[in-house]
Amino acid sequence: MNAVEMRGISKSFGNVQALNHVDFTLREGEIHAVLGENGAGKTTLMKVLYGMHRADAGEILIRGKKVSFRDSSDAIQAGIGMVHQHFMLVPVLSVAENIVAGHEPRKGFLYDQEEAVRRVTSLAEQSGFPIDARARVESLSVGQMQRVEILKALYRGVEILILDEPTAVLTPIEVKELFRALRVLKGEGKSIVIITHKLYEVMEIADRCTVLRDGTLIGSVDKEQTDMQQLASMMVGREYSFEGRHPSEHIGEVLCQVRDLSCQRAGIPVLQDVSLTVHRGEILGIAGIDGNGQTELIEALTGLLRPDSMHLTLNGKEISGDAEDFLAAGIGHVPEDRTLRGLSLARSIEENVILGYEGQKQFCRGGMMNYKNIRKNADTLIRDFRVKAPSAATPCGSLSGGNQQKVVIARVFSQDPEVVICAQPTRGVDVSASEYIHEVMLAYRDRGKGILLISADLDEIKKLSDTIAVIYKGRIVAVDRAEAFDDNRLGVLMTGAEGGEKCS
Amino acid sequence: MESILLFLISALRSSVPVALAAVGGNFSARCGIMPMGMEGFILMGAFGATCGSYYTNNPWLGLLCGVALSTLYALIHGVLCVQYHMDQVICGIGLNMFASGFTASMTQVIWGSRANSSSVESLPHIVLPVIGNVSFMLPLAIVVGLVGWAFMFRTPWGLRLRIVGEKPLAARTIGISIKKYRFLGECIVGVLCGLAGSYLAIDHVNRFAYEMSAGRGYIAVAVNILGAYNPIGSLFGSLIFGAAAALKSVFTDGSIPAQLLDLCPYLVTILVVTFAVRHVRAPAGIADTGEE
Repeated sequence: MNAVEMRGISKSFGNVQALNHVDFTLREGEIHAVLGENGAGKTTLMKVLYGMHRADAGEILIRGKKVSFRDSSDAIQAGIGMVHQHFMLVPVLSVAENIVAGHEPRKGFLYDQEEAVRRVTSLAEQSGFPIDARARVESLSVGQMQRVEILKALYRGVEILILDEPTAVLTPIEVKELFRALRVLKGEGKSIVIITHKLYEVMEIADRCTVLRDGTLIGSVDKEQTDMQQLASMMVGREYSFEGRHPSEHIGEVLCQVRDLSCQRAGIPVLQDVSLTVHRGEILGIAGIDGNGQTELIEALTGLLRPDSMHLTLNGKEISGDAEDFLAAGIGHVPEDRTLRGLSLARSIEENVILGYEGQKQFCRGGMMNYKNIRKNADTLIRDFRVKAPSAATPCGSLSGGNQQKVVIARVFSQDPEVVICAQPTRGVDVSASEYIHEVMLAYRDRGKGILLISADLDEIKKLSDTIAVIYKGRIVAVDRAEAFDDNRLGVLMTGAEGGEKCS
Repeated sequence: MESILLFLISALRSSVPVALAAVGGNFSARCGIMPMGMEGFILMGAFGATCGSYYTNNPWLGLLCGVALSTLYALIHGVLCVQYHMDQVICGIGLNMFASGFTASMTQVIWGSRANSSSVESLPHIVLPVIGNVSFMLPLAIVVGLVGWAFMFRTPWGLRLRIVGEKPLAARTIGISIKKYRFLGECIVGVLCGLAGSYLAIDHVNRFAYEMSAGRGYIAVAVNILGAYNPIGSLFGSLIFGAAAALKSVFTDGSIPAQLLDLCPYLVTILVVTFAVRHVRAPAGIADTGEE
């Protein structure tokens, strides 16, 4: 008997067909990966199963019985739980409150907090996720929050557990722990779906895999009968080659040097004595768990934040001032969050690709914008950087995430800065666009420029970096050639499990 | 001694409507709706109570009318903001302005003057030890605050209401209805603002007067924040404003111009909003519709 059978599911949002007659089968007691690029419809399909979206067409059978969910509470009733990519936790409430909400233990009319704590603690111990039930969720690490999310589902007695990109925010060690826990749950007979776009995860944890592309079903395969190559080709729709690292062939002289960077926020030191050196022809990757000072590092190096102390030299010349001075001096900036800092979503591509450079002679004469040149510039960049857009006048908000990011990349790299502070260059960007952005970065490096790469995606750091620096609690705890790190060493350093290594 | 007691009693009296509205505002804010329309709810409550008392000659039916009108008005805010996801603050301010114009015009139509209604039957007072002759709404406000606190922090429904107000999408994913709890919040703020308005019109005095809410709805928003969105905190917070308003009853000899004394509650509001509220965290889900 199949745990779940979805037949001919279609769903559209406005004019966009998110799912087109997709079939999906989940067998009892298996771990099933749903694989696809961003926007392929993986999450939408699972949200239909979880009752958050209503399918326009198609039917769902749970253990052979036809169901029709009005909302998530119906799905929960039917034994389905979902751990969302963006955690659905209330940070100001306790672990216990988050877990029992909706099915609270009661004492008369009152909510029984003690009983809730007791139940959650025993459930946590049973499932091998020990956790302090009284702790506030905001005080937990990301890995712990994920445990709370899984416990939330288990508390409701789910038999079918859906996890949406569960490893995106975890360190390598936490990923191992998660996988171990998922195997335990599988052993208890639960059926598990994980949504992912990472192939090695499929190979490591899944029994079967369903691949989606552009809202259509490409196929379902047993893991035993496939390999990464086949899955990748199914996912992107063409032959896809796995390239390994491309280490720099020539690392030249010192290009950009930061010394003694320290910074406090609300009295708490967020960066302490950070020193980094980027050479010509080098990509320096900063590895670290989000929230260890990366944001402040980016802001300090781009002039957005005035740190308590910093000596920054580019080609031996001291740089100071505000963001405009940094930009003019030749430090490019690909911001962490393209929708917040990278782009003005309501404005057109042509306007966005000159942001920060709008005062240049070719774009502006005597205080008036030269729209002819601006349009010409945008048309060139759209072609050169392969941005998929109807025209240069298209507002950036209507582009896909990958194309938005290409607009940011086009703006920064076309200005030919000496060094680029590249933060999360492919966050939320699909595989094809990521591949292209990586090519741009590598080609740029090979021209003898430098890149400081800050990314939460450890694979990206490992793939692109020539040198890796590990940041933990605002300190650089290790700097070494990229080849010298393996997952284990990185994991230990990133979580501060050791006091760090001595670094020069 | 005598005058200090007088001042304290006057402070208690002045804080009653603000306390009632602020506790209502707690429920609104905690379920994720910025209670910017309380000024209008109070005014509608006051007007409704006056009309009810005027036409039936029964102040209790007047009270009922006041509460009903205010609740209905709050539900309009609910329909606009919860059902149709309109901007909560702008809708609130819009309803405040409409209430001001509507009550003034209707006063003109019914009683022939924009400024005042005729005098109507007012609610009987009760006698308490020490304080003496007061409105029953004084003990009622305290009870409402305590029960409100217990509901919000000690019952499963209170927990769910807070989850809706902190992270509506999280509530949705565990099957808690955002609409249900937000309309509940609107109802509570409507009922309590109706009581506050009735207190002003047919308890404190015995007639409706133009703009008689006099900013208490906005002051209640500040009290809300000052009390850290906690009903008991709101009770204490409203005392500060009650005291500021009661200064007028102390300096009756004209040594300080009455206009300056009238200014005090508003001055305190500005000071509170500027300095005292920095460490108070508002419910994170205010103005978040919980849609994706």
